[in-house]
Amino acid sequence: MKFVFTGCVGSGKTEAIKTVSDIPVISTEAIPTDYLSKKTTTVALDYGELHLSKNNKLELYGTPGQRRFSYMWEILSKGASGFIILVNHQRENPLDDLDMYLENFSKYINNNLVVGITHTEDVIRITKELTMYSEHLKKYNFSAAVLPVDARRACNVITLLQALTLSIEEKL
Amino acid sequence: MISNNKTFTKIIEKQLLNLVSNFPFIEEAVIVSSDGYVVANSKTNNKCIEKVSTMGSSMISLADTMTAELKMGRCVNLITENESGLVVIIHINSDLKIITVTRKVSQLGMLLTSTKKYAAKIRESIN
Ligand SMILES: Nc1nc2c(ncn2[C@@H]2O[C@H](COP(=O)(O)OP(=O)(O)OP(=O)(O)O)[C@@H](O)[C@H]2O)c(=O)[nH]1
Ligand SMILES: [Mg+2]
Repeated sequence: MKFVFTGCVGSGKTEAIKTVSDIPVISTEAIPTDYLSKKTTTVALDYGELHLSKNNKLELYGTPGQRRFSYMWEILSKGASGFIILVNHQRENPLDDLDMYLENFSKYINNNLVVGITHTEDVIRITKELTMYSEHLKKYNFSAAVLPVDARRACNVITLLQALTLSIEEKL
Repeated sequence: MISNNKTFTKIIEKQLLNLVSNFPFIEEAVIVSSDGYVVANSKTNNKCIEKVSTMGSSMISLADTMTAELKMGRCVNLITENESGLVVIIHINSDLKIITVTRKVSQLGMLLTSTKKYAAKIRESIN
């Protein structure tokens, strides 16, 4: 199955794929001219693989986050079975970030979606914050699990991928 | 960062204008940063070239990734031969790439040589 990680710059797409991939990740990083707090940014794609079980290999693609690379969003979305939108909770308007990727990927998502909220380790009442995202998704008729995830932690990323796999399998 | 430095941009722009005036079959020459921003352009007010240049930065990055995977080192130049034109992309340094475009499909040799020559010139002039 082909899964696509998308979401805004610094939400942890590249990191998440690196964290769980069973193969050395193929990445296309460049030094950013604008996001000076980041060392590198993705300019074409990330690619990794994860073997969930003997017969279940996930092909993990990461998109660039920046809008000027949106032609890559189209290219990478073709034939994808599921989408993971990562949202950096520490950004100023995380719901606007979420909207931007929902809008741009809606024609491919087909309700095969999970949303991972990153950078939440300092949040005290996480459940309340997660509800905010769930309700937002419902408002736009997306049914998707929303989970807190630290892209640096394999168990978190795997949980997210399992949630997506399950929701896809349930529909079959 | 790079793109805000005016004198730097002026130097590169001048080289690009020299390139297209010395080799008139070249329709357009652009310098793009490795993260997809147009730094200088031989033609002003061509909107389409911005998107194309960003694509060029993705392509050469992907080509580098591919050649590294094959243990062939960095990609030296990327050529796309198309039904009605040619595009060449060459690294100037780790931050900057040059992209040249022609409609003359018979001019691949000249396009490559001239683009390489000016990539080297620009590299020297900004060092
Ligand atoms: N503190 C914290 N850091 C995180 C978390 N998740 C990811 N990170 C870090 O945030 C950064 C994310 O960077 P990338 O993985 O390059 O982000 P990206 O989404 O691929 O960004 P672009 O390719 O530029 O669009 C990395 O340094 C991660 O280690 C988290 O939950 N908490
Ligand atoms: Mg990335």
